[in-house]
Amino acid sequence: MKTLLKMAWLNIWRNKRRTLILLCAMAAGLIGVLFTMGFMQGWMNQMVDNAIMTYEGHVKILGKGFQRNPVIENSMPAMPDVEGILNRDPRVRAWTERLTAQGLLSTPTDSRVVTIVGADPDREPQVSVIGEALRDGEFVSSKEPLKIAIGRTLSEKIKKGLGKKVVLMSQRLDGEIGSAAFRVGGLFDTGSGSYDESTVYISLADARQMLAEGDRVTEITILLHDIKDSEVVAADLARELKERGVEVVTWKDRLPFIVEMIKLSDRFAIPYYALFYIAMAFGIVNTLLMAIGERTHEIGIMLAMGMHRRTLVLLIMLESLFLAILAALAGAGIGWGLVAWFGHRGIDLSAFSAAMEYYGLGHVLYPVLDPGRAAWAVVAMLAVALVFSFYPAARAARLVPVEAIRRAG
Amino acid sequence: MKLLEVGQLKKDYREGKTWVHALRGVDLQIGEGEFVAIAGPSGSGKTTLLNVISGLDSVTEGQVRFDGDDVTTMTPRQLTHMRLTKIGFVFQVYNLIPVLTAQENVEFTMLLQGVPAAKRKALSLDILSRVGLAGYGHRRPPTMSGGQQQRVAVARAIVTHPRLVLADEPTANLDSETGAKLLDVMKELNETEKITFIFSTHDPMVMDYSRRLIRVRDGRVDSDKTR
Ligand SMILES: Nc1ncnc2c1ncn2[C@@H]1O[C@H](COP(=O)(O)OP(=O)(O)OP(=O)(O)O)[C@@H](O)[C@H]1O
Ligand SMILES: [Mg+2]
Repeated sequence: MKTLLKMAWLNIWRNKRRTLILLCAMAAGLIGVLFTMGFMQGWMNQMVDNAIMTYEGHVKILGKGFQRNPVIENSMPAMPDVEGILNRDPRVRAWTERLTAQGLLSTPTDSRVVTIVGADPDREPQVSVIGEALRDGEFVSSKEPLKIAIGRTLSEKIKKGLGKKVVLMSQRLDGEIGSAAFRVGGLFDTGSGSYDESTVYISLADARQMLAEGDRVTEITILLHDIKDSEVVAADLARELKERGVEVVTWKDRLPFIVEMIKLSDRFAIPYYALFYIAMAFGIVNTLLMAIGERTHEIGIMLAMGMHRRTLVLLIMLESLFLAILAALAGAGIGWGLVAWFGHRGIDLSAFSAAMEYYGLGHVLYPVLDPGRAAWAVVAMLAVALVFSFYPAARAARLVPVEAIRRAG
Repeated sequence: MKLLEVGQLKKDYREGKTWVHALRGVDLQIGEGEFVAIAGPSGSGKTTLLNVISGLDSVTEGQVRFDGDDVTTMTPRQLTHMRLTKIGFVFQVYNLIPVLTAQENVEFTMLLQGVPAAKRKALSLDILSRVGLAGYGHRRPPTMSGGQQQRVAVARAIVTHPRLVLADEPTANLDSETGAKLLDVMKELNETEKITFIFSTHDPMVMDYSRRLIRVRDGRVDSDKTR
């Protein structure tokens, strides 16, 4: 076996140029696969992250029915004791309460349907990026009532800058129409035009005044340290809050579109990867057939001497495996490095940013490689090399020694 | 019973629409320990005869009995096993596996036979010095002269003590002096190890080395003389 390994190793270097070309092609293909994987993964992660960090959080406690029908009737009373549960849980990074409603934002010349978010002025910036997204003025405050923060794009559309007045209107819990006049106190830019145009923030206190009585909320939004804990934390909370008549959901329940996108992107990527493996299989079959053609005489002699055909098959499959291992080392090394480098630096996609925003991305994409997937790509490469070397190997084993030996060299 | 008995051996090759009669009824018997030269012009059937004896090629008609077995009725597996355990081969050129050292080449047959590493090493080093290549064990074939390569091939052929060594024009690509040296080595091994050698040639000088010279012509034995 040792001799066989040595022969296989040395055999692949008998035609250095050809081997190097094949290795480069295989490695380049693997780099392409890994980079695409990294790109897709980064894209999906960012899409999820953006949605989570802008508004959704990882886990939400909602009033019963709110997930299906987000109206004020499905709000819930504030639960001061939940604060203790959340603060004690080490998996929880931050949380906040909101009272939200669909409503109408009007100016003397314009009126638009918006989502009104009644936010806790102190807690909201810990849970979402809305605080960081503030470009002008300040976020809603508990000290100054009737201030509203709106997106900069919305501000431009309705031509109402800082200090200007707008009127909000929405259905109250008691069925009446509630309305109040607000002064624009802050302008934000989350990077998502559609979000900025359709979402406005007021303080939780103002929202309660305008929409409900008492201390009602529509949701408690929870940010975790690790997205992977979402399901467990949700399940734990659901168990603890069983008697309260609330619903606990995760970001996956809230963002079915993104979850579908992730599944879809995996499915679309498969044919692309398959293409690489098919090309690689052709390269390997071709190279091995050429190599065998050149070594016909020698193979004839080995067979004449009494070498078993299956030993010859093994030898050629080993050669293929060595090629694949070399290409995998190079390809995985460079591919990994490339993803790490771009993951650090980011890929500027501002040229496509309109489309990107649509998918919930900023301008810069940071690829990330999932080690499990990368390992699969490498293993698949080795497997393809082994499987597809079988045909050339079997052809070599079918050589007739007398004829093979008659051929020179 | 002789080691090798060939009776009324015929071998036809199809070439397009016509048939080439490479062997047209060969009879010969070769005993244990003989050193036999088969001579004849190009195309006379020397290679065909050797290939048929070892079962590398099939026969059209006739018998080949080697070491008590009927070679013509053996299965491919049995033939492979027979060649591995009982026959050593030396071909005209490029006998060796170029990526292996001389010593590893000599060990190759033993490796296929499953001989333990220590024994392989000892035997191969011993036989290399017997063919005058002590110290060349680590050399790769491409770095050796044609004569040296053929001596490694001879060493490989006999290191397992086969019943028979078949050498098809082993000296054809060597100058006469180097060829003579190679035959000296073969003859020495024939005498000391009692290994039977059959080799083919069309070089008159080489024929003189053997006590028994079989001349073939047009696929028939023309003469068979023992001096
Ligand atoms: N596979 C084959 N197909 C067709 N004809 C063949 C084949 N092998 C040998 N022959 C023919 O059989 C005859 C004998 O060939 P063989 O190779 O045995 O001669 P040889 O004595 O070894 O010649 P040389 O001295 O040139 O090696 C030749 O006419 C040759 O052309
Ligand atoms: Mg010949």
